[in-house]
Amino acid sequence: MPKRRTVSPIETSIGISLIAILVLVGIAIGLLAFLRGPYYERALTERASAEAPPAAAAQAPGGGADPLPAEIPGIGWARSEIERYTADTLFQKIDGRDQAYLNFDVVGLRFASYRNPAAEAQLVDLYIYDMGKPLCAVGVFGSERSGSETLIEIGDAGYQDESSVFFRKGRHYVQTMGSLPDPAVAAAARALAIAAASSLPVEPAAPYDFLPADGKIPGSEGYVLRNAFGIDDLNHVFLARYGDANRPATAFAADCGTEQMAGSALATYVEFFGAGAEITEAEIGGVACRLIVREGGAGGAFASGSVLAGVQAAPDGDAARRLLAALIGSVRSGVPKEERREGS
Amino acid sequence: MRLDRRTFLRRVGAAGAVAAAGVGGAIWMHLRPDGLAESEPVRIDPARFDVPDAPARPKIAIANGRAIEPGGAMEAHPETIRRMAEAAVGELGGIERFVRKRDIVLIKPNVGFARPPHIGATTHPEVVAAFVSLAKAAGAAEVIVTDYPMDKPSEACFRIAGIADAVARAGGTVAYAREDLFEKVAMPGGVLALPPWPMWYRPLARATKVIGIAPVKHHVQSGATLTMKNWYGLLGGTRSQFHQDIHRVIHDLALLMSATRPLLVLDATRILIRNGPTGGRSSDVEVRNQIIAGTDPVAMDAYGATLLGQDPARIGYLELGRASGLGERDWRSLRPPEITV
Repeated sequence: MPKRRTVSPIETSIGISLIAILVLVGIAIGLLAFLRGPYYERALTERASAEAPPAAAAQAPGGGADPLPAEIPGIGWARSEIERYTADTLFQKIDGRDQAYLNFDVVGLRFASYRNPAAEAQLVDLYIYDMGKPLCAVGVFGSERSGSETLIEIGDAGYQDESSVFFRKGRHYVQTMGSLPDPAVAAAARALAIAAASSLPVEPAAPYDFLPADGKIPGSEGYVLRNAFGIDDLNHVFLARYGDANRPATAFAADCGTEQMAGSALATYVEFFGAGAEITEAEIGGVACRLIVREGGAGGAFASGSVLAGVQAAPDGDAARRLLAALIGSVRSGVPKEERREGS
Repeated sequence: MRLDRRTFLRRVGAAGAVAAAGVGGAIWMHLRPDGLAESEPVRIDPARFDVPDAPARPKIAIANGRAIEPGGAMEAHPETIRRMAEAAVGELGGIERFVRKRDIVLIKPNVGFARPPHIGATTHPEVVAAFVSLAKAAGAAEVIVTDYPMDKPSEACFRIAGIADAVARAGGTVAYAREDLFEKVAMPGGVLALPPWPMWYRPLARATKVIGIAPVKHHVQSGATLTMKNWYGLLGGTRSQFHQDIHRVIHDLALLMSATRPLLVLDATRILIRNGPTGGRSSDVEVRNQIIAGTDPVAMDAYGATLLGQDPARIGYLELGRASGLGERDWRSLRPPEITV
């Protein structure tokens, strides 16, 4: 019988089908693994996945030069590999502290270390948190301050603490943390902070002009995204400190959405902060206010339209009244409403 | 090019074999038994840790260093720290109660982050050194110091925290955690009923005595990092899934480690009063020059909470510890002796 030297269409089809089946089996295994999701044994090596650039955190922030320069300008300490974390993986870097940033809807963190090649113990860690929007950067920056720091000219607001610099610019919150309380490390931390600040994009400042300008401590603005003062659903609260920096009073304002909600929030606020204090009603600037006076300090609050506003930690009742009066005047033009972030 | 039949069959066969080998390998890699997952969990055997009861001794003792100044920030000298450690443990019956000749002692400080000592995010290196020295003086054959830092590499964290150098000077050894050597440890029933969980167990497997030395730190999730929370640093796996259950996990870990009858130490030489557990500013730190030693984790941590200005009754894991009988939350009722050196 003569040998066949050609391949029949049926044989070709069978061959292609076999290979296709094998490919499909491979795809099915990959799909199963994906659907099964991570399990904890895998998490033992999870750090490797943390270093893969996640989509949100990996994007360049849109500024000029790299805010994580290859070396500290003028000093020369070289950068380590850049680590990137999303909100979901932030715990891998700062487990336990991550909640402080998640409270402000952090988007991501980029981190790198800069080491002095001539002195191993001298290094500066650079943390760049993308807080998603400038207000959240204001919020987290303010929440970490003790209030006694001296501000320096960097970014939108910043300060230096020994060998570390903390500042915010636009939606970014940046920390350069030195390893030693040492002048050389402090200088490196400051140079790195300046380099990062100059590379991050300029963004419109968070609005605060509806809070009284007189007596406001520069750089004291704060923001609470949700559950301010431990009160459920008191969200999107703007704050600033007034008077003596060593014992400041705080003014706050929030748009609660409706007049009814503002009234309800006022009642909760007074119940919460008025426990054990003397509570009186007073009309200030045509607005009914609740004054809360206790030994060692005073405050008060009012609802005006959909706005809840108030004063805390004033030294006495008169000081609380004066700040309330200024606040009533300044919030008449309105308080910014919360802008919902896409997907939130 | 036109293939003949033989060539075609040979090539299809070869391609099929390669593909089959690849798919088979993928299946094997996906389904193979994982050593860690399949292995029998290890159990902590309390019989290995023979620390005698001392009912006549206090369960908590507080030692103050003289260098503290009202409103000042002068830190105690390392020698004062050593004497504070000695005095606090002395009230409990002396280091000889907790360490005997030829013991292998495991010391667990908090080296969670690559932070320098003055930031207060890690245990003070001189406090660690003091307890290494005490254990060595009591005749320990070996003193192993370990933790599983968040920052990597572990060696850098121990170096930056000043603990690597302090341990070496005091004659101890640092055991750096290796993720590939984690082992599943059977958890106690506790309140969360955790399944066996990966832990940095290897140093503990050799130890015959355990000393936990925790800094006093604010912690944004649990309220405070103290002796009970300190054991959290030995956990591997996806710790983040515990965030909703942090108080119960802390309680259960303390319950697990209570089987080792540890000597517990609170390092309040300096305390991190805000922005914990990482800290970052010297303004977050207060110098207290105090060392507390004890055997009651709940009482120790209740006292530590007061140093942070917190109400122990509002810390979830202390309530769990009180309710389960792990310890006494009303630390004052234990009448802790207070010594000044």
